[in-house]
Amino acid sequence: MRGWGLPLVSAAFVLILAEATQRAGLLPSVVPAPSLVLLQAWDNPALVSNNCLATLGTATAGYVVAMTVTFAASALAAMLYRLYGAVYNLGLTLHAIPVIAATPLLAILIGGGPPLRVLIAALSCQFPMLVGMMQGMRAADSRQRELMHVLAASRADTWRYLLLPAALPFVFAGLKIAAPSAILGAITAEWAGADRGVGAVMLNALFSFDVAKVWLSVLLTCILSAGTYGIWALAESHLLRWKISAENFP
Amino acid sequence: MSRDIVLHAVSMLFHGREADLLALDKVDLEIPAGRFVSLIGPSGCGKSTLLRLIADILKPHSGRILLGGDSPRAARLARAIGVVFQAPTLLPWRTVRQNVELPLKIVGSAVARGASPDEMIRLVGLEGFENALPHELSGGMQQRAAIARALVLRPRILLLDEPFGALDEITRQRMNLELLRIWAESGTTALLVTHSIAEAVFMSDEVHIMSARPGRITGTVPIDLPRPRDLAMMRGREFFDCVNKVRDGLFGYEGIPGPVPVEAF
Ligand SMILES: Nc1ncnc2c1ncn2[C@@H]1O[C@H](COP(=O)(O)OP(=O)(O)O)[C@@H](O)[C@H]1O
Ligand SMILES: [Mg+2]
Repeated sequence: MRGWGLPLVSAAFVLILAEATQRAGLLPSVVPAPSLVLLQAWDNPALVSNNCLATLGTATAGYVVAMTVTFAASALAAMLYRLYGAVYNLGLTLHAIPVIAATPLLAILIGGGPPLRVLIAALSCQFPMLVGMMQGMRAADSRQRELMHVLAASRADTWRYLLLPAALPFVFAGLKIAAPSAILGAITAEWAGADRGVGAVMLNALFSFDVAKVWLSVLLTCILSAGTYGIWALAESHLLRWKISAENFP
Repeated sequence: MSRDIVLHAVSMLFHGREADLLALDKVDLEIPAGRFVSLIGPSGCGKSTLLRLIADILKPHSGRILLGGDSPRAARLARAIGVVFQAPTLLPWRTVRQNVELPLKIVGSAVARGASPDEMIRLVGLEGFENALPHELSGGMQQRAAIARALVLRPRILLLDEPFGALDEITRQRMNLELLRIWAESGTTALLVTHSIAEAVFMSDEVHIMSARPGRITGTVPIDLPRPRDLAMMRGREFFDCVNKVRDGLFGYEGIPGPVPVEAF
């Protein structure tokens, strides 16, 4: 838990400051008192859980799709090294398309249902994953590769003992960064018309000018993003102990 | 199976961007089985290239290399070659034992000739550090683990490319003594690349001198010091005679101003 003290203290400070200044009438009405936002959640737990679960479901499905596709693409690039640049550029191009503009176009193509939202979530998070896998597969240095050559290791053993373990830090970095992107992608997709989800709550609140609810949806977005990132960070700290230990070594 | 190393008219050409580079020019070399032999020469003269050719990491442009009568490729596939690089090149996610074990894992159970990893770890004096990760060890200890890894399959040929070049002199001297002990116990044919004259003389039965551009073997100095070697020998007359012969081979007589400088390695 080291390293959490300062963020927690500063968050608490900002919240107290906002509460105090709002009550003193010093803040515009678009910034509600934090207590009002939290009260919304307290009064309506089903609103929070239903919509969070919907968004989390869409994001997770998109995340898994992106993981599968980027893994397949990376494996292809690893087997056919000539395709390395093409795979990379394809991922970059997809990443460069603005999701906001692509969503209505895709809705026309495949309809506005759950598949669209999953696709948008997948598109939003694929690139960091791809970068992690593509950089990772090149992470073993030439001397380590020479070692495997001298040991006459098979291709499978070279992957098992060298290339995959060397790739893992990069892969985890990609998976971590991709998690909040999947959440944001799912929420953006929900704007295109969903009856459930944090994005739907956000849109409804915006149109009915329910300031506290807008802020609640922002808060939920942050919690989902940080939470999914945290899950991967936790997995990383358990699976890559050697790396963390090496980095912290004097 | 024989353990000797024979090179016949081996040339190596690197295709550079502007011009080709003749890194080795018709090198002939014969190392009898079970010997400890050194290659010495200025940096860039092709020592590492020669070692990499023997290890089947590179293919010669022309000429023939035979390791116990086999091609380097056959010897490599039979896991008859152990290599220690200048950097330890341990896999950072594997413990010392797991690193030393790696060759056994790769060979699988089919080959039963391997030593036990713990036996090799004891041989190089790393007992108690079996479960340490590489970054928890000093440079010298890492290199010992690399030597244990190179020896765990009991290779017929051990190639060492400036293995202690990055170490301080005190550690280096201790490591050299240990390496001689390990070599004597293992019975492998050892080829050591170094650029320290004293180290080459202290370790070897024979020192081959190389010159650069193009890389050639220009002379060979037999070292008749008794074995096992000890540090006291480095004060002796025979030792200095050998050091002088190697230095003369490297620089010619004109390179020596006044009395012979005492060189530590
Ligand atoms: N892979 C390579 N490609 C091109 N030139 C190389 C390569 N490896 C070595 N050389 C060149 O060959 C010469 C001998 O290199 P090397 O064997 O490493 O020398 P040494 O180990 O004696 O210092 C150097 O001039 C070096 O630049
Ligand atoms: Mg070299």
